[in-house]
Amino acid sequence: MKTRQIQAEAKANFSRFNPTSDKGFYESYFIRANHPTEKQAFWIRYTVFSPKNSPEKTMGELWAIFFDGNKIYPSKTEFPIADCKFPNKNFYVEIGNNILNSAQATGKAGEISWKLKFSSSDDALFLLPLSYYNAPFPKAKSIVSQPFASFKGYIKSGKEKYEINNWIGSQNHNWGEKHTDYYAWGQVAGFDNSPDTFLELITAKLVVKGIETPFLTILVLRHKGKEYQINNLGSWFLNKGSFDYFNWEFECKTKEIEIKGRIKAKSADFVGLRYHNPAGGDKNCLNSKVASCELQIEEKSKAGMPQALYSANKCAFEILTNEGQEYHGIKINF
Amino acid sequence: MKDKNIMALKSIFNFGKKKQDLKDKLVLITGAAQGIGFETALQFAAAGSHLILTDINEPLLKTAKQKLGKNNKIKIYTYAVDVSDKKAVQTLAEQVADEIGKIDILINNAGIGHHGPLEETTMETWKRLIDINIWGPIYHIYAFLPMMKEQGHGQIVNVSSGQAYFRLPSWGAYASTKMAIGAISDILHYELQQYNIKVTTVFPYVVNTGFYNDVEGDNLGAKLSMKLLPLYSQKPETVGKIIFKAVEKGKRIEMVNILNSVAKSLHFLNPVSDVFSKAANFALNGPSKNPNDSYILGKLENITNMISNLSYGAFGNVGFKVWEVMSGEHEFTKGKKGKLPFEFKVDWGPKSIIDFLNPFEEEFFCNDLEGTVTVGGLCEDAPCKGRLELKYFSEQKIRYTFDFEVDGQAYEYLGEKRNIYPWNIPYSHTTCFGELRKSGSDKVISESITHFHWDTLMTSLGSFELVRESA
Repeated sequence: MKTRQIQAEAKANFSRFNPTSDKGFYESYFIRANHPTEKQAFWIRYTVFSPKNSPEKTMGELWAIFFDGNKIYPSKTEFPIADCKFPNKNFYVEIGNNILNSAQATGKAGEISWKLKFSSSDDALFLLPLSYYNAPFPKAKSIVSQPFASFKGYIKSGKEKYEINNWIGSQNHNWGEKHTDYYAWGQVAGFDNSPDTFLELITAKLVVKGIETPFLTILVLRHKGKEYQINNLGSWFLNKGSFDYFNWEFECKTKEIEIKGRIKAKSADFVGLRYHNPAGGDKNCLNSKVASCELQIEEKSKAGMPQALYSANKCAFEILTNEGQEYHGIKINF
Repeated sequence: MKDKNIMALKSIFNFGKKKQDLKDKLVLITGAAQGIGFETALQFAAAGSHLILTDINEPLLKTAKQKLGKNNKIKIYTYAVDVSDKKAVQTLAEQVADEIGKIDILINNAGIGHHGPLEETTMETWKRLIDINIWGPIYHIYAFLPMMKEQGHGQIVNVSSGQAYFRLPSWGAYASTKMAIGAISDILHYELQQYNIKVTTVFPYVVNTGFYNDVEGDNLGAKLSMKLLPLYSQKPETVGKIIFKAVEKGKRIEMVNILNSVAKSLHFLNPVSDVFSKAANFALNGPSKNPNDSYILGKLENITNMISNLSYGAFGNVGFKVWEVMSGEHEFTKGKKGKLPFEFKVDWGPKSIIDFLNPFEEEFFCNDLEGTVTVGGLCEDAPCKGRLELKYFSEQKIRYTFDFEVDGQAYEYLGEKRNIYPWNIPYSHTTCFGELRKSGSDKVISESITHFHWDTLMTSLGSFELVRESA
C-alpha cells in the first residue's frame, strides 16, 4: 500500500477541528448498524458545531436514533464545548462523559443510552479522491473509517433494552465549513444476497457563487475483493443520479464496470433532524437507516447477465434539504 | 527428428513463449534463506508453487520457511545443504526423489562474492569461489537432470552475474566463475532442448543483499561505491520478480538490467571495451597497480581528510539539536482493545556536525535523542533516551530507537519512517511505524503509527540550536 494511503487511513479519524478558527465548522463521527435479520437499526452521532464568526457558540452535540420496525426514537443532547474533546492527534472523542474511540462507544442522549464495542478488519473507504481531503473544495469531506464494523453491546431506549449482537454497519467521519447544499447520501454494509459488498454514494447539488449545479453523483463500491472508485472530477458530471422524496436512482459507468441502482424508503421510515449549518441557518436532515436498495452490477470483463444485488431494509438513506415538512411530510425534530 | 527441428526453430525465432502456469510446480532453490533466493521463493510461493529450499545456514533457512509458510496452500520442504559438497547434493537428490518424487524447476542461485586484485587472490579463495559458484550448479545439474529427463520436462535456472561482462579490475576471480557458469548454462540450453528441458541463464546486476557486506573498501573509490550501493543497485525483490518472470516465460537469457546488456555488447567493440576497462582501472588503481594507491581517488581522499581536519579545527565538536514531536495512536497486541494516544517529544541531534556530515564516519547522519514518551494505557511523559538514524541512502528509512522505564519495567521502542524517496517525502517523512517491547523480549506488546504534524513545523525549526561540547 502506498505511504500516502497508509497515512490517510491512520489519520482518518483524527479531528480536523481548530478551536481558534472562526470560519465556521462542523465535524461528526457517527456509527450505525442494522440487525442481521430484523428491521432494526441504530445511528449515533458525536458532533462538534462551531458557527461562522461566533466561535464562542461552539458546542458538542450527541445524537441517537433507534429504528425498531415501524417505530423511530430520535434524541439529541447539547454540551458546552469545554466539556468536549476532539483530539487531532489521536481518536478519543469525549462529549461530556460520553466517549467514542476506535473500538467502543458509550453515552446517553435524551432517553437513549448505549454501551457498544465494535471492530472492523476492512480498510477505510474514502468517498472522495485522497487529494481532495486537504483541498478547499469540496467544503464537506467524508470517510468511512471502519466499513463493515461489527457491533456488540446494548442500546436502551426508555425502558426498553435492545441487545446488539453482531450487528453490521460502519464507523464514519465527516467534517466541513458548511453542509453540502442539497444531497442524498446512501450506504449499504452488506447486501442480503451479497454480504461482502459495501456501497457508499452521494448525489448532490452544490451552490457555487449563487449558481446551483445539476445533480452530481459519486460512488465507491467494494465488491468481490475489488474497489471501484467512481469519484474523480470527470465522473461527477458523467455519473447520473437524481432523487426526490423518497426515491433515488443512479447510474455510474467506467471501463471496468457499470452500476445502476435505486434506493427508496417509505416516508414512515424517516425521521427529520434539524442540523445547524456553520455557514448560517439550518438544514433539515431526513434520516432513514432501514431503506431498501437494489443494485445492478455489470463487470465488463465477465460474460453473462448483470448481477442483481438487493437489501430489503439495511440501507442508510439521508436527504439534506432546506425544505420543510410541507414539502416532504416529515416532522423536523430538535 | 521432426519434433527436434521444430523445437530448434522455435528456440531460434523465439516462438511459442507463452507464460506457463507455475501453480503446483515443485521448485528447488539453492541459497534460498535470504537475498535473491528468498525473494525468488516469495514470488513462486505467491504463484502457488511448492518449494524445496536449500541453504548452508540452517537457522536462517528455518526463518525463511516460517515467513514463506504464511501461505498455507503450498508445501515447503527445507534441506540444509552445502552446494559445494558433491555427496551432500547427491544425497539431496535422493531424498527429494524418495520424499517428494520429482522437481519441475531447479534454480541454482547459491553463490559467493570476492573483491580484490587477481594477484592478491589466494588459492584458497579461488578454490572456494570455484567450488560454490561453478561446481555447486554442476553438481545440482548432474544430480537432478536424470529425474527431469525421465519425467520428460523440466527447467534449470543458473544465476550468473553481470560482472561476467563488466570485466572490472578487482573483480577478476568472481567474474571468471560467473563467466564460466554463464557459458555452461547457455550451451546446456541448446543441448537439453531435445529432452524438453529449458535452461535459463540469469545475469543479475549489482544487487543490494548481504552479498556485498563482506566487501571492504580499501580506498576512497571502493568506500564510496559501497556507501552509495543502495543508490545504484537493484533490490533483491526486484531481481526475484525478474527471475520468476523469466521462468514463467521460459527465457534462454535474462540480462536483468540494461547495463548488463550494454557491458555485453561492448565486447563486440574491442576498442571501446579496452578503453572502458582501462578507465576503470585508472580510476580505481591509478598508474600504480595497487588499488590502495589509486592516484586520483587517493588525492580525493587526502582532500576530504584535509577539509575534515580543518573543519574540526574551526568548529571543534560542534553539534546541534532540534525538537520534534511525533503524535498518533497505538494499540496493544493483547488486552486493552482500541486505539490509544501515543506521543514522543524529543530533542535530537549529533554531537559533532563534522562526523554527522562525513559519509565515511560511523556517525554519518546519526543522532542522539532524549525526551519524553506518552503511551496511552501505560505511561504519561516518561523520560526516554536513544538514537535517531537517518538511513536515507542505505535503507530509505529514518529509525528511532529509545528506551524508557515504567514502574521499574524497562521498555524499548523501535520506530521507522519507511520508503523515503524524494517524490513521497510529505507522507513518508512524516509517518512513523513503531513497535514496543519489554526490554530483552522479542514479543511486540504494542504497535503504533505516529505522525509529524505540520502545525509543529515552525516550532521544530525554531528550536534548532548549535551545541558545543568542547573546542
